[in-house]
Amino acid sequence: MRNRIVTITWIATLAAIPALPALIHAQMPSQQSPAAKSNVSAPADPHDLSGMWEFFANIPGQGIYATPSKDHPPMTPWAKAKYDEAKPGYGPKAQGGGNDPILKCNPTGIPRILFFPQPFEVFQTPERVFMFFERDHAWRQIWTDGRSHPKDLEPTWMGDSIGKWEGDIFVVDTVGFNDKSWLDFYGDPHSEDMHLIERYKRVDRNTMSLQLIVEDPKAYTSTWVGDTKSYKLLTGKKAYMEELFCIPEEEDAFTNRIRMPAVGQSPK
Amino acid sequence: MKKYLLNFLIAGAAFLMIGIPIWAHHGNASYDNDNPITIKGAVTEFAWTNPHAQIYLDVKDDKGGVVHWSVETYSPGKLVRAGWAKDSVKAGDQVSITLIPAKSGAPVGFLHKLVLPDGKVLGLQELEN
Repeated sequence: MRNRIVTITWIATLAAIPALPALIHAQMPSQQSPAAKSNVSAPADPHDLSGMWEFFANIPGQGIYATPSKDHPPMTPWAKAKYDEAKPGYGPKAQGGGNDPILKCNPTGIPRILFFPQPFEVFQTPERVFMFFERDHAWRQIWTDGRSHPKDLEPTWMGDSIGKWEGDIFVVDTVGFNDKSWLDFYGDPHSEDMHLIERYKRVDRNTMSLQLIVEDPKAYTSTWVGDTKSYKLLTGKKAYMEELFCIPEEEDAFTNRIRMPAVGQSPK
Repeated sequence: MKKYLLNFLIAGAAFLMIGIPIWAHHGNASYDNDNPITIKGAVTEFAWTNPHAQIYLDVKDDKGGVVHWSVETYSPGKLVRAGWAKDSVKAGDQVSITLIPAKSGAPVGFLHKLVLPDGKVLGLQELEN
């Protein structure tokens, strides 16, 4: 009997682990305003993604997949060489210092900018869906007027995006990337041949989900299907975005004052 | 019954410890995510800049010396959404900061929580719900 109770206690404990973030939020009822409570239950148009959305870093996953080593398709020799050169600050290869391109204020690019803890605002017009990112003060446009991708695209950081609704899922199809950005925080590369699919769904008034699918035969030998990301709507006074440009002088100052001392190196 | 209680406590402790990695994504590879510490001292500078705001403070050690700590936190925009302002912290303020320290042993850390002289707590929680 005693052993059974012990076993049941352990099982109950382990079973509760996936619910931990929700439990932690549930422990903060005092911070919940009446307005926020009413918003949760109010209906939302599933075909309206408008709003300021934030990907919270305490929901793991700053890459296509939350766990960088999981469901990672095999790399081609071309991609492996690029991956070996990468010195990221996060993930399986994490190290202090490093050569993350964003440390030099290179644009973060799509899809990586979607994994930052800074919000982005979705704005819809009849012909386009815009995303305005706090990070880098960047923006992208997704054409929804039925057009196809232009031929002979010049490679760009954000690529060329077209979108359409499939039921309640807004499907964004993007090609025309350059190969200068990392796919994620972990140093995974992508090529100019990347074909990215983003599947957005407004789960409820305050929640939007996203699944990413990467097809890049020059870099990966099979399709990389991501897990489901979750974004939360910022409302009231929280619906605020600052002017967050990447400023080389500020990055250098931060590197000299914090990044290098943190890894025991002298400032430049 | 005693053994049951002990096992229950161990299970409870394990449950709480599993919560720690939730903080892990606030720092990067330079920081010891699993061992947060709390320091107390006098602020010398509050740098309200990107990519991360910074707080510098002098902390007295056991031997009467002073250690100058450098503490990074989120970008100003995220801090505003979490209830901070540009003038939340001022030079001279005696503050208590819970942070994850640099693995290198250098007096550098990533802020989790700051307690002001009047007891007000500033954290990184942005969501109200």
